[in-house]
Amino acid sequence: MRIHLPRTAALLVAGAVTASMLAACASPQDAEAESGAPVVLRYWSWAPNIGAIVDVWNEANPDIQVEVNTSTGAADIVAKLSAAKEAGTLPDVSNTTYENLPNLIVNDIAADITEAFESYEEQIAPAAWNLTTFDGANYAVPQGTSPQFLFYRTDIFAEHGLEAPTTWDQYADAARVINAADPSKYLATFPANDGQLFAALSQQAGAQWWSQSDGGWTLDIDGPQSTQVAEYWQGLVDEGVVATFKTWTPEWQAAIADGTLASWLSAVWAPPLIAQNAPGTEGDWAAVRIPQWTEGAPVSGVLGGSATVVTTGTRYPDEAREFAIWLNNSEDALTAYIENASIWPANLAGRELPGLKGAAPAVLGDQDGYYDLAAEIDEETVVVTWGPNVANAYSEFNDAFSEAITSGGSFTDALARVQEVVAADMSRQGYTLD
Amino acid sequence: MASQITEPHTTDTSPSSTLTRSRTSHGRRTSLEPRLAPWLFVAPALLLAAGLLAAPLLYTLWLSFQGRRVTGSGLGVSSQVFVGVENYARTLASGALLGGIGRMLVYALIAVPVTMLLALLFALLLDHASTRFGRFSRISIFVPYAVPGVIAALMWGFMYLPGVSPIRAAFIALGMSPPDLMGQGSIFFAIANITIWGTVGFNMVILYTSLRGLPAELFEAARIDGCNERQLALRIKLPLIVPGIILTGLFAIIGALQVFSEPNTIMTLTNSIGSDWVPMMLVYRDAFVTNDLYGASATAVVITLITLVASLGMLKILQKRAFGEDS
Repeated sequence: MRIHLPRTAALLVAGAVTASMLAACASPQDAEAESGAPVVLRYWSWAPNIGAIVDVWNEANPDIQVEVNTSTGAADIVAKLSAAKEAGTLPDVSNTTYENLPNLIVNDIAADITEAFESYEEQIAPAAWNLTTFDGANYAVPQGTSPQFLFYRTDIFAEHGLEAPTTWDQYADAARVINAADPSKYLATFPANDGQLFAALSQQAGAQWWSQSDGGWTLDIDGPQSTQVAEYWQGLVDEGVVATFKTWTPEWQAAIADGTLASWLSAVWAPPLIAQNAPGTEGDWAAVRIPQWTEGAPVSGVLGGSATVVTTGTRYPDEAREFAIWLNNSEDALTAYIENASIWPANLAGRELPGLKGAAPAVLGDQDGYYDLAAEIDEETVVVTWGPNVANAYSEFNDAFSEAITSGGSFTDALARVQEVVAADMSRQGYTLD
Repeated sequence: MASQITEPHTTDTSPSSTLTRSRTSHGRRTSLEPRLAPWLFVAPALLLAAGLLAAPLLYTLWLSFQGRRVTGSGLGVSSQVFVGVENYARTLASGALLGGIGRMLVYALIAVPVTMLLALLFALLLDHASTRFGRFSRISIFVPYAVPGVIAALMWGFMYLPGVSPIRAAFIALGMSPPDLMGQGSIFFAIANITIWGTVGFNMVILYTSLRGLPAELFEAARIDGCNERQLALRIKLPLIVPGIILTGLFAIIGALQVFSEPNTIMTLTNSIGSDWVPMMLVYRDAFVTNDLYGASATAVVITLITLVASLGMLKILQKRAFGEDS
């Protein structure tokens, strides 16, 4: 017995195949080659409205045109750049998170830019300089640092007679008050998909997940400070006073927008994202320092932040370096960045720009001194060293904590699992672990 | 089936061999042609198969014996080295693959039978003599197949998510306690539901086409003998389309082995799915999230072997039972 596909289906299939082959043929080719044509730099970025920022460069530099590709995200930048390196199609310039930069260096994707960039040391915030310098060599131009903030809904807090919490004890009390008044409402969610947030909270408590000494590495993911953070959140989750859904889902968006969540532990870059995910709540938010373990001695962790690398695959290293430095240090670019992406520049002069002196972003209503507070928190941020396999840690964090939440398991055990997986991966790659 | 293929093949070659024979008597260089011509005919297919199937397979196999090693102090510099069977040992020892296969089997036990039963039911109903709006129904059932898996998963994900689920809203409106659609157990049904919704139409079309290909005299004879429509469907039509049913079964099983985009999309929405939920997700995570292309290659090779052995074995059994009378 033979199977006859209907003719229309066969035609559809044939049409789809032809279309995809045509599409493959029509993919853009490198437009340079002819002499006299401008140099074209390919730049990968995920920053919102990055096109507007690059337009400023393109207008001023007719000889060095930059093409932005935004089809990449902070989470998959290593995978995409690694694949591009294998294929020999690395872009000239790319964004990276600080967490992923070590991986890009180890895999020979981020080029050494010391020669062009070392003279900028005086102009860059030490924390950012530190995150992009390894063994005395610069591998990326830092864009910004990311002071941690607690964003909360002033209207909901006022309704319950709550003040913004300054300690983690007060934060837990606020969670209890909000949930007791209406069991479907929460102060916050504990998102298993956000290893980055947990790492930052652990850093605040004093943990250094990766550290280096004498060429070897020390891993401390499940040490006492991180365990303290895990136990704290386990308590709130077990009590049922915080939610456990993941961030960046439609459910989370709805919860941020409709007041199911009354706050968000995030960083300086959050306001445009709040505006985007929770339209209609403009002016209802305020930003304060994240709660502290010890009152009076504020500390902040590192939550995100990004830098620009010149890749080892570029054919125009000089132009690429020039663009990367301009992008993160020139007044024009930083002004555009501040307006479009709410960054806190790594360039010290950039922090004095008018955009950072005036009013706070619209979501924060009439809050005064948002950027002054950012500057203060930046001073309180701990120095952090990222290891070569942070993506591994975040992925395992997602799995281990998801499982602990759904099956009622222990967060401390989940943390131990992350440590175990990251340690195994590092020793397998050939790193010496102390 | 095999005889059907070989028969035209032999008739095809005979004229060409007569042609060669007649030419050989005329010239010397023709001795090359009989060897060359058939190769030219199969060359496009061979090249495509070699380039698109064999080459990636061999590359994956080669990668699976490689590994990343870092030298130097601090961050060091990594290079690719031969590591023997280390990646295989790691894959087989970790338990993640076994866990993934276990979850995949649970999923398959739900998805495969339900897909096949629904496809068969719809096909038989559409073939029913008194069915109205047949064309409209057929297209309606087929349309979900045209929706890409990721889109379907996102769409269903919105309907499952507690905060935005219309299903849960309906339960609450009726005064009932809403079900947890993405709990530890219900997640298997949630994922199976997405793929069933997407693939029933395709399988139905295959079965329906088989049904339309059956000779009408049979049904007439059955009706004259007093067969009612239900008996006609179950006793006449069903046995006659067994090969079609087996084919759809194979499609459904292969689909279950390869399930990836639905759970991988739903993973971003719920805590109930980890990044190694099914074998394909494990491979994807290792290759593209944790940057261990070599371990991912080893896992992929192991999965390929398991799939190959399983499908060959299944084909052998099925061929005997289903296509036995053909040969």
